[in-house]
Amino acid sequence: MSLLEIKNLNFSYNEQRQIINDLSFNLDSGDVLAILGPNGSGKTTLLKLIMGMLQYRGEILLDGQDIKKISARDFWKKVSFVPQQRNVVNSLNVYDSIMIGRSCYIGAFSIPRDEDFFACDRVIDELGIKRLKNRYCDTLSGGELQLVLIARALVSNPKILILDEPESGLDFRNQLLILNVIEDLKQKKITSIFNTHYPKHALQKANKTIMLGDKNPIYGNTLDVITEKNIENIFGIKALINEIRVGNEIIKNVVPLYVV
Amino acid sequence: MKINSKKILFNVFLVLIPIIVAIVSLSIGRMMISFDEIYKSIFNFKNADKTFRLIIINYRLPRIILAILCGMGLSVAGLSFQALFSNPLATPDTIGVASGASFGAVVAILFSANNIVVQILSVLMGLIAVSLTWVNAKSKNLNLSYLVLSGIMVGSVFNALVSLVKFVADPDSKLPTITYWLMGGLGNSGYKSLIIGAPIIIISIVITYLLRWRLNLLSLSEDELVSQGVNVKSLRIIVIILSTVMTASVISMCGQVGWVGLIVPHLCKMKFGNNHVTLVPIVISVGAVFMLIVDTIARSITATEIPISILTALIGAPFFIYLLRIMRKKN
Repeated sequence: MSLLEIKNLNFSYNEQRQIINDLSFNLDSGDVLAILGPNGSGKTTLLKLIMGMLQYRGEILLDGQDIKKISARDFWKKVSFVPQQRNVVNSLNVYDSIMIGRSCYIGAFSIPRDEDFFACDRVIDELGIKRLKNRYCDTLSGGELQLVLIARALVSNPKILILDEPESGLDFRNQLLILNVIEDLKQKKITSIFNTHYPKHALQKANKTIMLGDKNPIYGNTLDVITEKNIENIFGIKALINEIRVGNEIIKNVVPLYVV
Repeated sequence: MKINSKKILFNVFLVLIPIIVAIVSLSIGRMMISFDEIYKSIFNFKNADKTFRLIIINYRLPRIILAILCGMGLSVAGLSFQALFSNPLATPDTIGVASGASFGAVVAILFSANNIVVQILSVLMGLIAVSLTWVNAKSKNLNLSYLVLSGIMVGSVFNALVSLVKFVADPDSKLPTITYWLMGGLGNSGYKSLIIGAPIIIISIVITYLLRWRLNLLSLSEDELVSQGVNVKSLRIIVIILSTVMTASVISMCGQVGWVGLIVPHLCKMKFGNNHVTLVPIVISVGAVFMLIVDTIARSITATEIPISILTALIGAPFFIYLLRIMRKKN
């Protein structure tokens, strides 16, 4: 049994245009799934569907259970969401913000307990953001805020982490930092799903990829999905995929050439 | 929970401060009364002076209880509304509570109803105003912007109705009563008037206190809130109901007391940050102290009592600006 099973998923906002057309895929623990596609192709919509935030046709199973039948609390103990950092307004300090991620463990009439504080301290240590602990979120840089948002999502010990464009709007260094955090989750057997505008990020960090476009979505192992032909079909550009050897490692890169 | 002696001491301090201020306030007035007499009047009344006892038990004590309740209620309601709308300028009138409650009260005054009727009608109209705001803004997901817009409209309708009542009121007898009432004051306090309002305010404050962790979540965007496993709609509805009944009960007992719901939460946020777990108890304590001080000044500084909203604005606003300046310098 896979951790996450999507069967014949269909979704449309209106009758004229189907956004997600008959998509099926499975994810296991430690998988990294990248979702690619042009603007408006439904990347964020797909994330929302997986999180049960929209009405859909088809089946989504988490640990073999239909997500429609799982209580919100139990669902969000297994799944965590990292929103786009530019949409986040937050007046709390970093520590309290991260604590918010423990909400599904804290009762409505309760306040954080010992185990919640321990979980917070642990995540802060793991992500190396101790120095930010007492800063206010509205004083953080984009990269720092993104790390805090990831910490907030990880503090509930999820099995699946869903990230909405985690590296967009960040500089080179911070992009790499965030992508490395996602890669490190593999070792902890946490599955991550992220959408991105950069095919090369998917190539470098994700083992599975979905490409969304006008036609049926393409799903498979990243190396099979991100090909020059598929990029031309979906994005309408000619691109070159090349390999760079650094030491013993081969790094794949996508270079856009011209618009078809 | 991380408990340390510093935290316990601070909480004891939060409880003690309003009590100390209340005792001091009992002794202050046009007739100054010593602490010894206060003690005797309350605990050892066989040996107490009859006049002092009358003043303390029948006049000052209910009034001080009312001041504490109003201060706490308005401050907590203000804090909740600011969290709910993620807007530092949100006040109970943002969704029409205050206008509705005022209308209920002035209508009752127009028909010379007694205090109890004024209170009941006021709370009732406050709730009706919010229900109207709610019905107008109703959509599948409870859009907060619609709620605010609808609240402003409903509020202005009720304000117009208040003006209409003032227009038709007898300018010699009724109009001054209505005008004074609208300016707010704790002069009508008595144990009888506390019977309806006090339990409502206390229960609402207790529930808000228990929900204080959840208030932190209200500043999140819709998707973030959902992804914390929280039932967004019911949380918002509960906070709206609690704040509405608190505000309407306060207004029903002492008229429109402006500014408290804005100044007190902001004072506390400037000093203690935005975590509602610590903020709610602080706001409750500071709200009580603020109102006690303002009301003591209102009843003792001049021979005739000064309406309280004049003082909350005159004392509160400059103090608030002063604090803003200090904070800006610090940053």
